[in-house]
Amino acid sequence: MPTDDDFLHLGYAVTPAADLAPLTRLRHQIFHIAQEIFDARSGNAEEFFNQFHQHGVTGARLNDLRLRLIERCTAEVDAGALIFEAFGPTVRGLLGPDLLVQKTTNLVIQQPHDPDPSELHRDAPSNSPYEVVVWVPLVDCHATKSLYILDRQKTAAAQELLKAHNDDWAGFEAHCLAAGQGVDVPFGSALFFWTGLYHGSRVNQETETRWSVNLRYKGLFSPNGLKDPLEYFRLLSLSPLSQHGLAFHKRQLLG
Amino acid sequence: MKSFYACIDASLPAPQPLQHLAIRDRAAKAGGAITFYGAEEILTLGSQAFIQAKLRRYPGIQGVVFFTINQFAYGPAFNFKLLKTIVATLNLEAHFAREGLAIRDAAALDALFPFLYAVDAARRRDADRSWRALILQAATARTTDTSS
Repeated sequence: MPTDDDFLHLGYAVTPAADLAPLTRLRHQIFHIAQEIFDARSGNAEEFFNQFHQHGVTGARLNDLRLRLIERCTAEVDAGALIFEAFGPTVRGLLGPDLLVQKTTNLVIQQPHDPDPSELHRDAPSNSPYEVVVWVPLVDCHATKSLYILDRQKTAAAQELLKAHNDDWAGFEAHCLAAGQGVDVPFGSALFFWTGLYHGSRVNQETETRWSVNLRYKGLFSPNGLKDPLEYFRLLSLSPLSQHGLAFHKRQLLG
Repeated sequence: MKSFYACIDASLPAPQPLQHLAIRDRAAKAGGAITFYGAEEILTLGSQAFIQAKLRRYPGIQGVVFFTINQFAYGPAFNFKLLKTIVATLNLEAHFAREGLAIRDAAALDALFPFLYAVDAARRRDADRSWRALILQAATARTTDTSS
């Protein structure tokens, strides 16, 4: 799991799965659906994902099929539970035992030289600053195939810059691209980061396609962001004590 | 095909036509269609007196589709009593378009209770310090700075 020092000081940490098997199941299930959606076949998931750009699916068609893939994965793959199985000690260590998980799983496909990488942004607000983002690559990710992220200090400095020059997004973006730290994350590990950190992708200059999923976990009782928990999350786990407390209120209110 | 009554949110968190679109979509996903619709009178937003009376005397429907489950949270406490009446006494399904939630019977309400109760409790606890309010404050301050 990420050390307390890493997460506390940087706001992010790369951690290996406590149990690799659920991640392998997750990758296989997405691989299975992706082959159908993109009408492409491959001998193994890693090769399919890494060499995806060879199929020549780009632009609006890629986005359309990616959205269909997300819809199918949300309906058929319980990514929130599988990632929790793989990284349970880390998630519980950061958030405690009473947990919500995002309902839908975001899936990103970043092909080599795609001119539209994930834009620079931070999740909170509008997400709660009491959520953690879990970014899970389905293939080994390094250099420009991966994300860049600004740690707590650099994010705070970037915010000051934006406050002082809030009409200069290009300058802000250039500053963040220079300050951002590339994070190498092999398959079998995940990047955990605080929702308040600026992050994004550069144009993928490597020779392989990046496939990654990301979702968020939140404490059931922690303050909400603008995103309504009932709309964006579902209940994942409750401590025995919370089960007693909530059962007490249920008897009062529902009989 | 099931028949549903639609109950839009009269506080208009989204424009009425968008609420109808979302409600129709939710009804279709639940295997039915909307046969009629209504909305709370502004003075009964908290008590939900309109929809309570309406559902008791509106025959031939299998359920009701609300725009949002927040319609049960406009009073001093979350209206679990009405939800229970809908699913356990009137034997109607309750669907919520914005959240994509369905409560088809009393067992489903029991199962969802911990989530609904805890989220509502956190909202009420933090009502005075929501991010929305903070962002509005920041925007106001920025406007003031710019104009001075």
